[in-house]
Amino acid sequence: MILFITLFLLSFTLYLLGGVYYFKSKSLITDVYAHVAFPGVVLAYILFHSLDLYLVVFVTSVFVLIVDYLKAKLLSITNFSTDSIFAFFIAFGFSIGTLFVNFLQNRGVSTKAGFSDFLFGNLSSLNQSDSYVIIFFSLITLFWIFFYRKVLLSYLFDEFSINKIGFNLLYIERSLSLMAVVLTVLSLKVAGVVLTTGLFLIPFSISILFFNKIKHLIKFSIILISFVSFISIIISLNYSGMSTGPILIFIYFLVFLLSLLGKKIFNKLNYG
Amino acid sequence: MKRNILFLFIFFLFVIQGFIINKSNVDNNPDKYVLSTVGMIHDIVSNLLPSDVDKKLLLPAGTDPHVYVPTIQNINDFNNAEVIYSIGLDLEAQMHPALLSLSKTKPVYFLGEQLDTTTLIADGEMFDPHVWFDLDLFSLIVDEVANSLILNYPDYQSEILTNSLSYKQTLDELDVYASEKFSTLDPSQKWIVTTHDAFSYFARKYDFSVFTLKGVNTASDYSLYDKQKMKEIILENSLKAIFIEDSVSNKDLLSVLEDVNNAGLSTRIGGYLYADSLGSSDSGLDTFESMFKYNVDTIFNALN
Amino acid sequence: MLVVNNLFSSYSNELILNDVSFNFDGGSFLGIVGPNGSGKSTLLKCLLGLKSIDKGLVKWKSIIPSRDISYVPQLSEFDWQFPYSVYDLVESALLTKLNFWSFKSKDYEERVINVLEKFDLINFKDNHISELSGGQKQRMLLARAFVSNPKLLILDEPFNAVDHYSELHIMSLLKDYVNKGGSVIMVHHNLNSSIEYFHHVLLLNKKVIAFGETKSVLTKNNFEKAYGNFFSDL
Repeated sequence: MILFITLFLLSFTLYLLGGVYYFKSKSLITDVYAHVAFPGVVLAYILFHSLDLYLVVFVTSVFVLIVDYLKAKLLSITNFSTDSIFAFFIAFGFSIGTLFVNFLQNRGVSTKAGFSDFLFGNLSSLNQSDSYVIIFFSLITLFWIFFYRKVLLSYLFDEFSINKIGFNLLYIERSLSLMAVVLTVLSLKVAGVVLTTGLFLIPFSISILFFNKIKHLIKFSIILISFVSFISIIISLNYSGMSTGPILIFIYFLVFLLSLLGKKIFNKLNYG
Repeated sequence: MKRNILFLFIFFLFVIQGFIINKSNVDNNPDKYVLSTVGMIHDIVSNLLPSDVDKKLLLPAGTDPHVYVPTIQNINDFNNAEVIYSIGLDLEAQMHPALLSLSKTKPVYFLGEQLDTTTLIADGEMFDPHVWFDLDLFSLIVDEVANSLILNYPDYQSEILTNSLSYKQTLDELDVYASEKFSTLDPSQKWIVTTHDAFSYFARKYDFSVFTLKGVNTASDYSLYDKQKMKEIILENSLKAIFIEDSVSNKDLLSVLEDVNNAGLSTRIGGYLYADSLGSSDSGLDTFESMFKYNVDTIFNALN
Repeated sequence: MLVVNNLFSSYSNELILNDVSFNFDGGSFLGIVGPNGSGKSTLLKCLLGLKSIDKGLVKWKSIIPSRDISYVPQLSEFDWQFPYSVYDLVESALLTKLNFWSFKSKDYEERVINVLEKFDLINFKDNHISELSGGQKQRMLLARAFVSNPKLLILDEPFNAVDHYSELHIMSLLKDYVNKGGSVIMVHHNLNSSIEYFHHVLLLNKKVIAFGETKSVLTKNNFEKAYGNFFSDL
């Protein structure tokens, strides 16, 4: 039960943040955060010889936020497109992470530390304390999003309106970045470096195919995420040797394809 | 035109310097040695060959050979070795292509692959490589090493033969020690529950059952099913202890233990087991004999 | 109301605004016209602080931009698939730092309904914003701008993709607003209607070609300076 609650809350929070980045046309940022978080995780181990989740969240988040600042600086001083800068940091993050792992490997440490848990993700590897950490940060994020929901909607539709409301645009953007970074680090344990971005984007992409009102999007997402989380856990409970990260993303992707197909058929039948 | 010629010349220099450095690395290095990938083989070689011949161990103690990726320094180690020993059977999976390629130019022995496959434990379409935990099979490997060493160092034939007999005598004594100790254990407690499946040969030899989260390869994944099954086995058999390993992450096992303890059983961690390597020099377990005896004592003391 | 002195602004080292200066006293319509790429939208963004200024001064007198100005960007700047209903979008203009977490005031509800009725959008209040026509979208953005009772409206090409009837309707609402003491600064692309709509015009082509009363600015001589030989060939 606690695994289901953990997975549901994490997925729902990622869904909402994914929606934010969808409307800001910055979906790839989640991939940047995931790939840059990987060296952060290894760095946490190098510094503290521990991969306890609360420690990893702290060290990795600081690391990712520093890189995020560098990225923003690069964007402002160069003529490169956002996509190019993002791709650069995705490659940079993973290469640095791999170098750190090799450094530890040569000291007989690598697999002992358990980095593969973060690389590929596995819900099965969560212990109770990990679950509590994930639930805690998910709830904080959900509370922030709920508290600022109207401001957030206004910001997403028209950034200028935030100044009119009297909010600092930087506060909104930095809060969102911080939450996205922390949630990314947590989701590495469930979906891994490569697949985390899928957890942000695919559920929201499915929802937006059918609904364009906030209330309907939220209701649909609760049903979708519950369903996929439940099925993933059932599969993991019944089959040996299958990590949950790929199962989750595969099922979401399947639902996405079926939704696209279903929508096409529905439109054809109704509108010719 | 002149710029193009200059560019081609600089490019040519870059290409040439790679060859020059590579050649100098190999030719100018006078040290030659027998290289073993893992400590278990290095122990055999060290015991069989006299000290006149240098021996080198590739993977330091505590390193996981399943996922280890060779570095540039390791490639130099391979190139400068006179003879190379490995277990094979996909134990040193990431190194296998390099070793296979080297076998065309120098003696490279995949010792596990010389054994009769009917004596090996199947793992899907492959075989479990942890053969050193069956002392009978390990004894056969000692013979393989002795024969190949004699082939490559014929001057040391008599020492190699004498030393191999002595080494095998030690293995026989270890086998007797283990058998006698485990014969006193309650059969219902004879379970090795640990992270990855390195003890199937050990279990087969001394009549234990094994359950692990991961398979034979430490890079394999496990699911909630595996975790659930492990909990069931511990609870059904009221196991006194489960074991953690030296070279892999044990966090997952610890979370299973937490669940089992919460269910009311006082199962504990029985101790560290050495699975894929020997201990470090300061642990006092850097020989095969000491490592094997340590494993036997740890398992016995935990389950007794 | 507004003083702009020697304003310079550029994008990626390309100068878009070159030494722009003008005053606007308010209480009337100021039109900003010029050819494509002349810096009209950039000027609006500089006035609102949405774009950085390289050199120069933008000074607002007796007006607090964040409170007193409503800005209506071009329709193309919005994602019309965003999950907003017409009502939600107009209501969002009433958000302040003091009410954002609750925001269930009956007074606000009345204000939104009133402005939707005024802009002839009351029948669409629960529709998704993508379901409106171009003209309806523009009226909706104006309704949003009006609902917070601004002193100044800044509009960027409000009649793009808008049919003639909608344009007339919108202009009558804006005239009514100005007659009641409001001010409007508008970027506009139609030179013919500029003569009718604006009291003052700023003719721009990266620099100020002319500024002043509409009839004195929109002359053939000034058009040639701003648009080049296109007008001399007519």
